[in-house]
Amino acid sequence: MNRFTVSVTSGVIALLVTSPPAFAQKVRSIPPRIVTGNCSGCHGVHGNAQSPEFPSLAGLDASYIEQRIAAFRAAPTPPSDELLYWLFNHAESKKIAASSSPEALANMVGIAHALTEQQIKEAAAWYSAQKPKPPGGHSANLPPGSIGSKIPNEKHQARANRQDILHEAAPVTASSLRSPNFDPLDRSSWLWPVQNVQLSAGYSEYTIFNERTHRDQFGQDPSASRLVYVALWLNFEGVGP
Amino acid sequence: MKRARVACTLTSSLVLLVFSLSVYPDAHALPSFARQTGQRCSSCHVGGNWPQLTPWGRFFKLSGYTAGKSLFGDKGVGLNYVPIGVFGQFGATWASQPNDSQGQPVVSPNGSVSAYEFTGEVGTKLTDFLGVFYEYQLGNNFPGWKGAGGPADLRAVHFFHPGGQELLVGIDTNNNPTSQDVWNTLPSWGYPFYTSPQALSGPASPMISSLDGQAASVGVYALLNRQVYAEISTYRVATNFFRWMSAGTSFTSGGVNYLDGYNPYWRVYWTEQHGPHVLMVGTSGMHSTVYPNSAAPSGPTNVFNDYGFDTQYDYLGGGNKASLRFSYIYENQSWNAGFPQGASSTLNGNIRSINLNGTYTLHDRWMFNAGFFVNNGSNNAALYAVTSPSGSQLTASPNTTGYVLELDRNVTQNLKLTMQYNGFYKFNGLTSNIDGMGRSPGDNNTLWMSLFVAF
Repeated sequence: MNRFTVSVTSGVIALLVTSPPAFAQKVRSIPPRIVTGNCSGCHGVHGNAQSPEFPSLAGLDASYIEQRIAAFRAAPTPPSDELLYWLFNHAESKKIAASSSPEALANMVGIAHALTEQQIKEAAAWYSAQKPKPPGGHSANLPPGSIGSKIPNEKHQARANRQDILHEAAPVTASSLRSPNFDPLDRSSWLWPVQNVQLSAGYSEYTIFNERTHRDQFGQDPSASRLVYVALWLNFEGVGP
Repeated sequence: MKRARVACTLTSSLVLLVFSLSVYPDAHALPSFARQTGQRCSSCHVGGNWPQLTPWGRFFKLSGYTAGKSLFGDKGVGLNYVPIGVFGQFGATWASQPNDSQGQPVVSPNGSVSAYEFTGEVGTKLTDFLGVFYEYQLGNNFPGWKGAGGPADLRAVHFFHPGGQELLVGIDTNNNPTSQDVWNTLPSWGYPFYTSPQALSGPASPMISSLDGQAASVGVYALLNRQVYAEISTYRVATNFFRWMSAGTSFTSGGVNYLDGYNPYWRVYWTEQHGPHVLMVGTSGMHSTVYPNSAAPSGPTNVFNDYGFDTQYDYLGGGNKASLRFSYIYENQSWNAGFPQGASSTLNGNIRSINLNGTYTLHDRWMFNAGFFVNNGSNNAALYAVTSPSGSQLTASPNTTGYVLELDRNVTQNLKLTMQYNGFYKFNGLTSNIDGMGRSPGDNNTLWMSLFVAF
């Protein structure tokens, strides 16, 4: 059976079992062009960013994404001739630099101005319909006796709707944040000698916190978020993490 | 002389002073692309340091420069941004020994501040599936100035989604083999990214890196799931319809490479990104048939087959970024036309080129680069011979080995300062007495300081 036949058969079965309300939502099967050619370059086609520099958007509320883009669009676009601004209009230059985080100025503010309202809605709807990828580096079905090691990726970004806290050093939810944009340096490892016991150790640090290089209004550096932890996890119900 | 020395000292002091300032991050890239996307150069270029590309920069190029604003305003009236930019480069080059033992200049002028280039560029999306990048450069040839076309790249792209996969398919035309590539391992965008036009270099280079502004291509490429890339292009001489791509090149005066017919170029790579780690492994190659005399393009041709292997690793960790790059190119030469005519001493030959280099970028402001290179090849007295003043042949080997160290400082994204040192262990197959008058390879070493502005 070739791939085309499989695809068609799967599609027909999917149509038959899909409930009418969900079917009526018309969830796209392929991303809109604005996602393919623009957003996905940093955030991934399915909203699971590869680089820790960019937030994952999969599963975020569409209105939240639209709200964030609106905030970027409200900020002034960084000038491409910033040297002239710096030399001849230093006050304006400083004002623009202070209007957003360096990361937002470099990547999002300008491109947000290039979007149309229709494109914003399409992108937000697409990403909110995507499933967040499980945090990289471990499997929920990891066999007892194995040792895991995580590589930093998107797991600390856009975590508002995730409940995977078993292996996390310091889970942070978007509910307390202006934005889910972090720049984490995170290493954690765990040992699972038997299925009832897990030993974990980890270290985490943020160089960017809440899209700012300062954690709070008192100028505290993000590095104050450094955390070293050691944990012993017990489970006597016979179900591993 | 005294005045020149004072000017030189003042300029050096100024450059060092500005180097030591920490003002703004980022450096130049194509200003028109920055206007199109509204992003800073560092979004597409690692640390804002052209031409190193970030994953997003690579995708922006492969997707035909189509991200960002539409060029034309509502209902096609007016422009949403200025799709052109200008560059200027200034600096000075010092040679370890600017004159030979007889007082004849080898590097001239030595240590005097000069303008190196003034360049205009057009880089823009034209539609949602079409984009272009073209430069025209007025360059200092020491002596004299010459205008010539720079990189030219026109792309049309479309995204397909077969079976839930993503397949980006593009059509491309350009004027320099490997210039269409998105990695910094192949010759066109490889390290050193810039060199002084006064810096010395070995005598041999593979044909795949010797066709800049002389050839024109039509090719098709595909990128599957942003992971596997494959391309096949065909190059012909940039005349007739493609003459705009070879602006400034004179084929009739000889000395350039005039391709016969259509010459295939291919490129395949695989890449994987995991968190801040990016790895690429690839291969490329080209089959070139070249007339021995560009002023008389007819009759037998020389044949060059290039085979390349390259790999690049990037670490993109916020304030700390690093890249490690390696490339190996083997060229098999058949001097079917040159050998009977005496232009080559052998019927068959080869070139073996190795480049290993890396860059560390700190906070998108400082770039520390180091590279090691080997450009070896088979002996060929007709091409590479050096004779002493007494008439004895010193070498027929092109083998040249050396290193390039570079420090860059991005002052703003419009202004970059560069200090580069080119050093040689072996030059023209010799480790001493490379000119028969006692000159050592190290005497060819050069220090270059430059200031680059882009708007």
